[in-house]
Amino acid sequence: MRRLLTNAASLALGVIVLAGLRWTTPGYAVLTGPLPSDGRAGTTVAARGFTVRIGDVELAKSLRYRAFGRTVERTSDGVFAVAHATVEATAQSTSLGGIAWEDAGGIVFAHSRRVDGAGALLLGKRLQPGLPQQGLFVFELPRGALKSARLLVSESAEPRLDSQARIRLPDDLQGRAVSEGLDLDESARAR
Amino acid sequence: MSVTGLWRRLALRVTIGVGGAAAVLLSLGQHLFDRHEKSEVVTLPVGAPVEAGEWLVTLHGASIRTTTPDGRQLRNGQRAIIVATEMTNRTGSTSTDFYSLLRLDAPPSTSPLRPTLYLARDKELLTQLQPGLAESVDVAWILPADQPPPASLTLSVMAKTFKPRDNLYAAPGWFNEHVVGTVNFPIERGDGNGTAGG
Repeated sequence: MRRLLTNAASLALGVIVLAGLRWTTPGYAVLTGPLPSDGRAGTTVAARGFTVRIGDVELAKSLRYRAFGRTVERTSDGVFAVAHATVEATAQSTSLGGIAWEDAGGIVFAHSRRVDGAGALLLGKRLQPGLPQQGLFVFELPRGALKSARLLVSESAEPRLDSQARIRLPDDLQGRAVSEGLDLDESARAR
Repeated sequence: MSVTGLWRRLALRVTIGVGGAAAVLLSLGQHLFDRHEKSEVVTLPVGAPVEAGEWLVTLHGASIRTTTPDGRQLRNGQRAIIVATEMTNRTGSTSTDFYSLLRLDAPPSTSPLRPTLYLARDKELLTQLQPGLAESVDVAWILPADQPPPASLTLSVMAKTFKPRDNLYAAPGWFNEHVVGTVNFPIERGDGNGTAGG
């Protein structure tokens, strides 16, 4: 009887331990996910193949830029956030395919494709080592996504086992004034 | 053979028999339940938001035109059915998974696989939809030139189900496309050319 009880107890313990291991093992997607390198706006954040430094963030209700010989105007029900950035390749030529805005709740807004063709964008632009480039990251967001946000920057759009710069943005963004219209070309030239 | 041996064999047979019968009944019941579920096609309202997995979609109405929503003239007498919608991305990230949201069941189109979507705000092709930002989107299907202009259309609203961990990568994602319901509504004549050649 005693032996039976011991066996049953050890079996139950084994089941519990194995279930615990099974439940706490991170999934394949987590294990092979991006390798974060954290930093703050205003400082240079180094990732595996590039460095990025975020400067000022401007907010606007509409954007204007010249592309293909005409002026394009973009309006939004939310707000456009335009981040000034300096990026540079470190080891070899590369480009940034993943530029996103993550709000406090973890919702990820990809770089807006509605401003494709604007000259000052850094998304997909060829970067060379030793030649820092200044330009803009443009996001279209609801007003609520401005609070305690961070930028996620990586070489591939969905980095797997590759580094991703995570840049904490200033906390006062939500209180900042939103301009009626912003000219992307002028804004990029001004700095 | 002893009485115990006979009794054991009988018990074994009865157990197998009961188990088999239970399996057959369960499978039959499941099959009937699935059939019942599949036969129920909901008719969705026009002009009210419909929850369709990743999307919250409102269908406003349909028109038939000879120009696409970005202002280009269709060639060879083709016409386009254009459904005016409002779409909101309900997921946690920017999405481009909107081509399969609406399926045209009738009339038949020459673009059967995927419609073309236009962002009404820009009058350009829709490239992405940001989470939580509702946008007016025009969904266009091209009709063959020799087909008479239809008076009404039937759409299916499709949805996918969220899985926090998929079977292959244990990553969150949207899978298993299914029909939420169908909508049938009249087509307005758009720019006067809807009846031409029909």
